[in-house]
Amino acid sequence: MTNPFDDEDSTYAVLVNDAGEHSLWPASIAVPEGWYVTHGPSDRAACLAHINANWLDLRPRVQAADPR
Amino acid sequence: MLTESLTVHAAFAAQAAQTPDAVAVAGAELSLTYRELDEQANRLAHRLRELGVGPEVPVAILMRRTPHVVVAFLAALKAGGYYQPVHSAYPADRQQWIVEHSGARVLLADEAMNQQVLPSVKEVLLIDGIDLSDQPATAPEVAVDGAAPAYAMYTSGSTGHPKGVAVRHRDALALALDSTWDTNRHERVLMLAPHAFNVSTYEIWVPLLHGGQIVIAPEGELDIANLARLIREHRITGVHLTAGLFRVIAEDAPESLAGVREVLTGGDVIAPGAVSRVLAANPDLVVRAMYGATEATVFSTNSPITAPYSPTTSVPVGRPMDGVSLHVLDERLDQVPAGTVGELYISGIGIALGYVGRPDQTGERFVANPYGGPGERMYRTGDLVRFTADGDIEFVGRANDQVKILGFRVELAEIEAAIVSHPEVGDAAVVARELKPGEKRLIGYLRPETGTALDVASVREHVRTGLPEYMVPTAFVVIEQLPLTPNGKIDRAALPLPTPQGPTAYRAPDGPVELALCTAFSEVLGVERVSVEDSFFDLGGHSLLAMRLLNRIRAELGVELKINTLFDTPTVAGLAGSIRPKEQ
Repeated sequence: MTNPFDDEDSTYAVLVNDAGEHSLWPASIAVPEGWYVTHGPSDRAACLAHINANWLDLRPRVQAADPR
Repeated sequence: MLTESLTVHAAFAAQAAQTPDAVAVAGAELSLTYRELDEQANRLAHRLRELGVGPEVPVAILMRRTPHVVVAFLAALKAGGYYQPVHSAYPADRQQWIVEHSGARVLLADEAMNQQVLPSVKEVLLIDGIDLSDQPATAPEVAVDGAAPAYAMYTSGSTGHPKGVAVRHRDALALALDSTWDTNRHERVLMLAPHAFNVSTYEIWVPLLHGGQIVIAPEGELDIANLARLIREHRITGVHLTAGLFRVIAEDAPESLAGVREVLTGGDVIAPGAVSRVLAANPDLVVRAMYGATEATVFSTNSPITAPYSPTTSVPVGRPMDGVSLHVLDERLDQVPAGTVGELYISGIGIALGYVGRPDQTGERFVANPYGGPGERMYRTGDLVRFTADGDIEFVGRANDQVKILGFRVELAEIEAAIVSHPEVGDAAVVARELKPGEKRLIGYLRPETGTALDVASVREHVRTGLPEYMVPTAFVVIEQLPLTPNGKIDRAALPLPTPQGPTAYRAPDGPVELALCTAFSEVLGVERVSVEDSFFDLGGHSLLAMRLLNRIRAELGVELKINTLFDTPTVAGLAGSIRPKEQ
C-alpha cells in the first residue's frame, strides 16, 4: 500500500488553515473542511518547497530569532 | 477539562503547594521534597531569565540521569522556555548538531558531563557547580499559555539528520493527567528511560502532578539484579519497560517485578508469551500495553491486561487515551472496516506542534484531517494497524523504513546517509533482520566506490563518530551491486544474509568455566559456535543481551559479573580470566 502522501510521481496541493498551519495534500482527494488550497496542483517537491518558503510562523521556527 | 491557559509548571506548583514535604524525586546521592524541588527550580529559572530564556526559547540539557535533570526541566519551563534534552550517550558530533539545529543558546550540563567535550554554545551552566543562593526562591513571573512549547526531543530522521519534535504544554499536561493514571498505581515511578526520549514525559510528570515520587535509576549499571533491587528497595509501584527489556525480564526473572502495581510496556511488538509469564509470576500486577509516538505526545492508546491471561497471537495496544481519535485509512484516505489493515492516523489532544525549523517535514506528516473539526490536523504514523472486532487497535507493521532497535526508533535512511558519507563507499543499504524472534540486528550493505579497496573497519569507525551505538550496524557486507526492484528502489528482501562466522579463528574452550561461558554466549546470542577469543559485541551482543548473559552466568556459575567487566573483556577467555581468580 503506497501512502497517498509519499508518492513522488503523484500531484499535490498545499493547504492552509485559519491558524496558518500548512499541509501537503493529494490533489485527487477532496479538501477537508476548514482548509484552503494555497499552492498547486504541482509536484511533491514544489509543494514542500512552497511550505518551507511560506510557513514562517511555525512556532518551532520562531526560536531561531535572538531571544534578547 | 484542561483550560488553554494551564501549563505544566503551573500544575506542578499547585501540587507542590499541596504536598510540600513529600519526597518528589529520590536519587542515589540526592533526594528533594516538592518544596525543595520547587525552590531550586525557581532559583535556576531566574538565572535562565537573565540569560535570555523566555517563551519559545529552548534550553539545551545534557546531563547524567540524576535528580538535577528534573530541576533543569522544571526550571526551563518556569523561565517560560522549553527543555531540549540531548542524549548523553550520543557521539559529540550528533550532540553538537542537535544543539545548533535547535537554536539553543543556553546549555545546562553537570560536572559529570563536563568531563567530556560539551557542545559549543553561547552559555554553559553546570547545575551542580553554580551558586544560586542570591536568586529568589519564588517563581519568576512569565506569561506562558498552554499553546507554548514545553519540550522538544530529537528522533531519527529519514533525511540523514535527526528531527526535533516540539510538544506544547497542553499536550504534555493532557498526557500527564490522563484518566489512565487515576489508579494509585503510579505513586513511585522508576525513571529508567533516557531523558532525551519521550517516555521521560510519563516517568517525570505523571508522578509529579499526582503528588507521587520519581525514583532515579542510576545510569550505566543496569542489569536485572540491580533493577530488581531498585524496585524492591524503593517499593516501585509503576514502571515503563521497553518491549525488549520486558521480554528479557519475563523470560529470565519475572519475580523481579514483585510489588509493582502496573508495568507499562511498548515501543515495539509486545510478546504475548512475555505478558503471560509476568502475570503468572505476579498475579496482582496490571500489564499495560502502550502504543504511541513522540509526535503524538508519547502514548496514544493503551490496553490493560490482567491475570488470568490466555496469550493470543498478538497483544492489541487497545483504546485511545482521553481526547485522542484514531483513524485507520486506506490509500484514498477512506476509513477501512474492522479487520482490514490500513495506516494509522492520530488526531485530537497530543498532536505535536511539528518539527523544529522544518515546515516541509511538518507539512507532510501533520496533515489536514477529513474526520475532525474544521481546520484540524492529524498525524500520519507510518504504522499499519487494524481494528479488532472488539474495537481494539492491533499493530501489524511499519509502512516505511523505520524500525525499532532496543526500543529506539531508527530510520534506516539516516544510517545509510551516514555510511555513504564515507569517501570509499559508493552506495549503501541497511536492513533490520530478525535473526531470532524479538532480536533485531542491523546489517549494512556496502557497494565500494569504483576503484577503491573498501576497509570495513574504517567504515564502522566512521559511522560510529556520527551515530549512537544502537544505530551502528552489527555486521557489514561488501556487495558488488545492490539489488534493485523493477521501479528502481533498493530491493531489501533480495540482499544476502551475512555469513554466520565468528570474527576470529576458532579456538575451543579449555576447562569447565570456558565451556560454560561458551554455552552461555551461544545461547544468548543465538550463534552455533563461539570461539573463546570472539568478542560478545562483534557477534551481535548489545546491552539487553548483555543483561541476559550476566544473568545466565550468575545462574550457571554462581558468579556476579559487573556489566563493565563485560565491556572491558568481552570474550570468553577474558571473562574466564576474571572469574578464575575468585575460584581459588
